[in-house]
Amino acid sequence: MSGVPQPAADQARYARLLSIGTGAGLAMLVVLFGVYMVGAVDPHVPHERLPEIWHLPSTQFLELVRLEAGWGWTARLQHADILTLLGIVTLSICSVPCLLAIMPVYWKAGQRLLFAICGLEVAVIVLAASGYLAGGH
Amino acid sequence: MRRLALLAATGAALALAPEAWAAAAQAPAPSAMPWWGWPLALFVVCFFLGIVAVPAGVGGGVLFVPIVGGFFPFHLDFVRGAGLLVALASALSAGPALLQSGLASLRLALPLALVASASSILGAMIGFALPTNAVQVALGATILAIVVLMAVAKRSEFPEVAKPDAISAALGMNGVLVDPATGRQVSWQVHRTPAGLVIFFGIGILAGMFGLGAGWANLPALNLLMGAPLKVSAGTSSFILSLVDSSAAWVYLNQGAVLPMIAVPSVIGMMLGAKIGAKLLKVLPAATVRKLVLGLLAFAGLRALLKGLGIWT
Repeated sequence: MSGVPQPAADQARYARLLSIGTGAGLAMLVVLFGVYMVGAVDPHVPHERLPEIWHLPSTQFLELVRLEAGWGWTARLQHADILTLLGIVTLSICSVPCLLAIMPVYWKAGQRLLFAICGLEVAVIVLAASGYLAGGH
Repeated sequence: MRRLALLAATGAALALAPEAWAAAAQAPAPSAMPWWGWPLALFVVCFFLGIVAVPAGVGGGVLFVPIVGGFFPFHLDFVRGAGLLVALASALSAGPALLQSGLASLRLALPLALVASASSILGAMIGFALPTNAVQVALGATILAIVVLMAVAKRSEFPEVAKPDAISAALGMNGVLVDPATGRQVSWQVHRTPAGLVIFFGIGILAGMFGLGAGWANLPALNLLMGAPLKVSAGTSSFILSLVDSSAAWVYLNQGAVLPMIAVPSVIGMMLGAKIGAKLLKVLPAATVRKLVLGLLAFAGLRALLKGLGIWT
């Protein structure tokens, strides 16, 4: 064995995309939260009302502020607090393109098990994101 | 005009639920702190938690949930949601460098992450289905168990793995570790993958249920049970969290349990603190900091337990 081993193609590709996704998500989070905090765009729930209701369970909170569970928030993106969720969504989904990008690497290498595992992991995250899985106190 | 219309719309939307607002008024006594004081306080607390987490070898999420849940006025749903995001953001940020350096192994991580991702969704759903007090009691008991685990668990730099099991061999769960400190190259492989998959199923449930992150459990499972070298275990553990917490975070998002006012200052504070903590690694007495952090964690765990039991509300 000579020299320092380079990261395998799957790791290198995943790392490159993850770096882009995470950077974008964090940048969005900081910028949109800044917009929210300075009041440049009106929030759905006024800043000063939050301390009155953030002791409530999330289901009651949603009911109180007239927000639907699941993807209902996307209808209210004109509000700064809701808009900030876009940064959080980006962080929560940015692993999916990375997984999709390494699947061809495993397929070409004949590593069908790893290919299937990546596909299943994507399916799990998409299922979680779908909003079909819900509960409540 | 547009601004006025938006204000009116917001006011109307909130006015639609007057009974609920009246119920909210029965809340604990209102604090004198202005609204902006809370995100500022969260940022400061998380900044210091981030600083001590690195030398203590503890994940930010595991510190965040019991401490913020115990001493801030937010409902546990929002604290768990924010805790997951703290752990997720930290894991995602560390991921690319860990993968590039070989300190995280994709092939080792993927099968374990798949099982833990699926179970973290289950854990999150259980957490939302149970009464808050029950979750609080379980959280306290889990935190106290984590303190014991972290205090007594041993670590092995290069565990002996005579022969890989059939699953790890089929999936190529092996690699070459280049120690950045010494430049030494060590080939590694793992065993006991079926047992590892079972353990990671349980880890996923706890991570999803409490929003804790799960490095405290991933590391011993990878290192002591499966026989991965310590540095590969630490890097891969962090990478696994990036997938597990992604799944669970979606359940919290869909439940409305992610409040930007709580989550974002926590994430930013913890990440900035961790950067400072990494720089202070050589200066701070790591063993002493670790003992202090474990003591703090034990106190927060006890607080969560007693709060859930209604003894210390």
